[in-house]
Amino acid sequence: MPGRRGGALGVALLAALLGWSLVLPGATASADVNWSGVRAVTSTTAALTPGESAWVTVTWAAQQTVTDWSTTVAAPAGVTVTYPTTRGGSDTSLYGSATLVGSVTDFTAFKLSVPYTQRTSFTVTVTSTYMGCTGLLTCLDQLLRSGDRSTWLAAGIRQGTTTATVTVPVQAAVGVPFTQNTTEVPVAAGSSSFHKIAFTGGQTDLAGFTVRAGTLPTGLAVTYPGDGSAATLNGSSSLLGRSADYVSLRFVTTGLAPGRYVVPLTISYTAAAPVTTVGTVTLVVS
Amino acid sequence: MLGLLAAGVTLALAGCTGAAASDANSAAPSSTSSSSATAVPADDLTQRIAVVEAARQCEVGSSAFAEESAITADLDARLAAAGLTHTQWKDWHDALATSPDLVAQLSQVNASGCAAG
Repeated sequence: MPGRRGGALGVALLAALLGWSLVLPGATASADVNWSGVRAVTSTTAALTPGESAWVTVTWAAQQTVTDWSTTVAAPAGVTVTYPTTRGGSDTSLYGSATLVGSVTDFTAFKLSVPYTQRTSFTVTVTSTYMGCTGLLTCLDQLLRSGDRSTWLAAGIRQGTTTATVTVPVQAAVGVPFTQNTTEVPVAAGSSSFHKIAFTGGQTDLAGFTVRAGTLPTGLAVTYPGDGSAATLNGSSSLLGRSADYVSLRFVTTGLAPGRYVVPLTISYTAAAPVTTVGTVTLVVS
Repeated sequence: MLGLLAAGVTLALAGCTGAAASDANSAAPSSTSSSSATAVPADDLTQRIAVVEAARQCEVGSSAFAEESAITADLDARLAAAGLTHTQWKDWHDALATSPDLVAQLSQVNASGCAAG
């Protein structure tokens, strides 16, 4: 026992003499040691609905300044996590920089896509890594900002990791699934050209969003891009929640006299289940 | 014996720390001068920015944004309402790491906490 104690003291003394990192180089990746007092302030994100894709945030605070911030998110099966493309899409960082200044809060943002089958709240595991002072050796915040990373190891700057479990509330969607923004289309008599009909998504994403014309007034013909059987959205196949997009229909008015004509629309998409509904657009032929 | 060893450890730590401090100081001239050169003093403008940022930090967590750009749009709307620009915020944000006065000012603004609701 005394021998072990003496050995431990010897190690401590050696560590002090040579520098902790030289004795324990593995300490450079002490994943569970929170050197800089980093913590997640957020325990619950904004609420989402089944079928919704949205960017949510987690706020962080630190006692000491840390930098090289990187956050990854682990979500339950079926929930998709998307990171900002500005960082390559494999992680996220803080808003506006990769440095969390001591005594200041900042947040990370990431996109969650909740499937329609996810009807209850769930948790995500948010893991952040950063470089910060360990307190093992003299370490000044200014070293973090100096840009001379060759001094970091000797100064006791190490990578830290903090993991937090954050709840994502899931609640029922409210409001209409989408809004048709274009209700009137001015066209010239005897013309044949494409016209945009715009839509804005409701709270959730609507997959496979298509529009086709119903029974047409005599003298009017409608075709779709690519000679398809229906018009698809310009931006993607889905009408994303709270986002605007449009379809294009070619109105062939060679047989129409000037006037107003109501054109029925058949609108199809898949939410929790396939849906087909109707709308109208008024052609104002002049 | 243990006391001697402890004293040795203490001295060794002190020496090591001192050495590291010297190293830090030797590396410091550029960073120190850089730090002092880029330090931004707190003033009325930074106070206004701090107020906007503090409110945003309080409220951003309760918002779900349809698009990534909406986060910046939210910030810009808050800044515009206060007669500020994104560039002013960005300069302030970048200066935080090197400006203790700005951190202290923001902390003071935050001291009142987030408004309920």
